[in-house]
Amino acid sequence: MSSETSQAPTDESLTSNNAGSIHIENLAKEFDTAEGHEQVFEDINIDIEPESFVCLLGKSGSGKSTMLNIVSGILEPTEGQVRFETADGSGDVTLGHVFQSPRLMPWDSNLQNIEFVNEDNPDYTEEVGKQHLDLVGLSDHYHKYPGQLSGGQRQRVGIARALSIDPEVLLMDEPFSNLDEITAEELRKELISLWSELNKTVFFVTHDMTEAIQLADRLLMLGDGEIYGDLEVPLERPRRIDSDEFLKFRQKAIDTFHSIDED
Amino acid sequence: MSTSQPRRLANALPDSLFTNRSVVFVESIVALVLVWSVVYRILPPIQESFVSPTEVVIATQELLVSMVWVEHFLASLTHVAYGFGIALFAGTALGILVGWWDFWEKAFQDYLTIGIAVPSLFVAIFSAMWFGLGATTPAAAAAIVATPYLATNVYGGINNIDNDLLKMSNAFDVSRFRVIRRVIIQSVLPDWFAGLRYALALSWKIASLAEYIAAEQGIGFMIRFEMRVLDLAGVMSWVVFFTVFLLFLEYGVLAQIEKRVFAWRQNDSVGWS
Repeated sequence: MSSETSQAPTDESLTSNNAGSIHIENLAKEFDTAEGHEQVFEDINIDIEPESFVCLLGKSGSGKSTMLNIVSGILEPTEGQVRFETADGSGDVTLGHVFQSPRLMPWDSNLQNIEFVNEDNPDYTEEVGKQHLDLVGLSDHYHKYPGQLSGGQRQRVGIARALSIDPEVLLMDEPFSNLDEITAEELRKELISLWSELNKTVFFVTHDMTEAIQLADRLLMLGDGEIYGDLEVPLERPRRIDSDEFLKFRQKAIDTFHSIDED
Repeated sequence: MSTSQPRRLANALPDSLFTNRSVVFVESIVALVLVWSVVYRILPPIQESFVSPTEVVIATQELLVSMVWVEHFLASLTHVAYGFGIALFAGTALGILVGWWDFWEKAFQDYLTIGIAVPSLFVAIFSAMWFGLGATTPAAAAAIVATPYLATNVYGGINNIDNDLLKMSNAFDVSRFRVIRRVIIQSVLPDWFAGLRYALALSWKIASLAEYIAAEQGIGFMIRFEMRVLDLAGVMSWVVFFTVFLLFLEYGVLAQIEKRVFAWRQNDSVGWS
């Protein structure tokens, strides 16, 4: 089996943090433009349960990445707030980020890229970094540079980096959209496998309906500045995209997704 | 002769004769010397105004044996060390200033363009007029010419910092000090090093030119001396000495440093998707 597809069993030491919940309350965001203020969204309220996998869907320009950036703290909201809750009640949550492009430093080895984000983690050792690379099937690539890896492997390093800080919440911004379909499909399966083993809360942004249904417990649809669709995904895992149930639910989700165009 | 014969001959030779950079470089030198020798032999007018490769080899040998080169080489080395040292410090600082702050970019960007555009000969002449005969002239000329090149490279490097890496660092709450050390400096380093390489070679050239114009020691001074006594083989021997040293500096020192420090670049783009 190639290192691209191999996956090491999860080490229990890698899952010390509990999952956190996300509470988005009365959230609004507007940007100043040459024409004045542009309202991206307003009065958004979402509660995301711990250990759940939620996909935020929306067309280009709908504001889904803006919302993710507000949740991650990179952007400030115009109104409202994002609150996290952890099992210990502190609300002090660690967020892991996986980006559309892996954003790896080409001059650092894969292990060094993981070490980079663990500056304040007293428990981090090189062994921990290796364990996380093992987790995403990159056991033979500790000391390789990102330039020596395929696109899929680089994204795996990005996922390992995000998991290495032991986050309660994993924020993923269209992480597979730059990959070919075969690699993306492989990574989706591995992500689900990791999620079910590591029990993290995942907030995943995508514009791909099939991907969203494959991955998520719940679909949120953002458009015209509001959450206009909120669907629980009633399908058992593992999900086959060619099964009748999948196709039937997909059609329902697509109808909901396009309902905004009819209004 | 059929056209396939040269192809067959080429197939019989080792690939390294055509692909190995060092081997091809040596081949080019041998070819140059051969052409030089042949032209020198078959064209008598050239014999009156030029020297043969053999004469240059003998003159270079005499130069090396006489140990005269030590004094002048050390003098040039000192001039370049001061000039390049100043350029390294000033060029890096100026590049950071212009690259990082809008105000200084507006204030200095045009000066960098002018600095690069000014002919080196003018700088050497003006340095000679300002500082007179002595060691300051070549050092100052080297510093003035090399500084804008280095500054421009650092400026370009700062402008090319990958914003996504800064956003990633911010998202993961990486400290500012670590971002400067691991992202910003590492991003600028390849451009800085490329500028350093170019500025160093330029420093040698300009220092020699300034030594030629106004100095009492150095390789440039000795080239002028040999020209005054109309010893063309002597001039060529200093040129050969200078060229060999620069090649050693480029491939023996700088290329080795580059290979070690930028190992990640050699491995780039070998992945598959």
